[in-house]
Amino acid sequence: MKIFKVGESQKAACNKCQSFENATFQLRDVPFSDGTGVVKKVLVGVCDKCESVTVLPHQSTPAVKRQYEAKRKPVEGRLPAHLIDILNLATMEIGATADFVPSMMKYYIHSLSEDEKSAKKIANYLQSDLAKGRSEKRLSLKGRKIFEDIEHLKSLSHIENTTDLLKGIILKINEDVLVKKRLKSIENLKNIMAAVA
Amino acid sequence: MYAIWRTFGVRVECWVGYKEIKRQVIDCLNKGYVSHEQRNDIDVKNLLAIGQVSLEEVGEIIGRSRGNDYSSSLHHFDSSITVHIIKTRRAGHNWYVKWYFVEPNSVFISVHH
Repeated sequence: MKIFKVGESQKAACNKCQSFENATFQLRDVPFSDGTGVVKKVLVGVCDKCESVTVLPHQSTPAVKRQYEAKRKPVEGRLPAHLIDILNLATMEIGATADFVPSMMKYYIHSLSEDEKSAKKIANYLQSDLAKGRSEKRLSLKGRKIFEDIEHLKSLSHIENTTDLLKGIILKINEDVLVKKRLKSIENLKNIMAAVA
Repeated sequence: MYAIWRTFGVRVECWVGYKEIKRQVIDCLNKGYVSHEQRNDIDVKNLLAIGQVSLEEVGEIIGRSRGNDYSSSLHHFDSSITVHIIKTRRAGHNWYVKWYFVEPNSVFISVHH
């Protein structure tokens, strides 16, 4: 592999200049195109004319990969088995299958992270008897926004522990879908189910 | 007769050209002579640039592609540079691979499915 050093250069297509220009390798903080994060101090080719980042040498890929995957780590928690049963029952209630559990959880996590008032109430659910029990099952949620949403929701709800946060959210789903059967919540979930089915 | 000969001749020429392009890009992938075109950010559609596929996997995708999976066009910024495109199905995915050569590298624009 050709290893480039800071200060070396090569020709690269520059989208801003609309031409091939000389690019000099420099260490730069470069964002991902989907806005999910920034790779800090990564070696990239920078257009000598307009300073745009125009080329990424493959030697920088391991650093990019590390950052890309760090932002997309699954959110995991070990939970009492009855909480997983609640999630499965909630999916049945809206006419879905257990496959819908991750989508339902991600929907709740995202909508709660945008609703400060509801987010602050999550901690109340942890006082319930249903929040207790031996943690025997694992819940894993993957997605581009899940990590950010969870972090934001932790700060809104003042719940630092991921597992506790997941427990609170599941008990909120229990209340909305199984206990109080709130029409708006059920309709929203049915619409999402239709979109992902 | 001339029309048949001409069509056949053009197809043979394309096939030979494609084989040579494949050989060149696979050689670059094997040697790690690879870089990735960027537009002021890191394009997450280039799965090779962000390490979600390996050089070997891309080599295999290109290696198993056929002539009719291949097309080319001239680079918008420099008509002396040919942009190569492969659209092929591999491991349950429809792959789209786009690159050009700038000695000694293959410069990838897109590797996604």
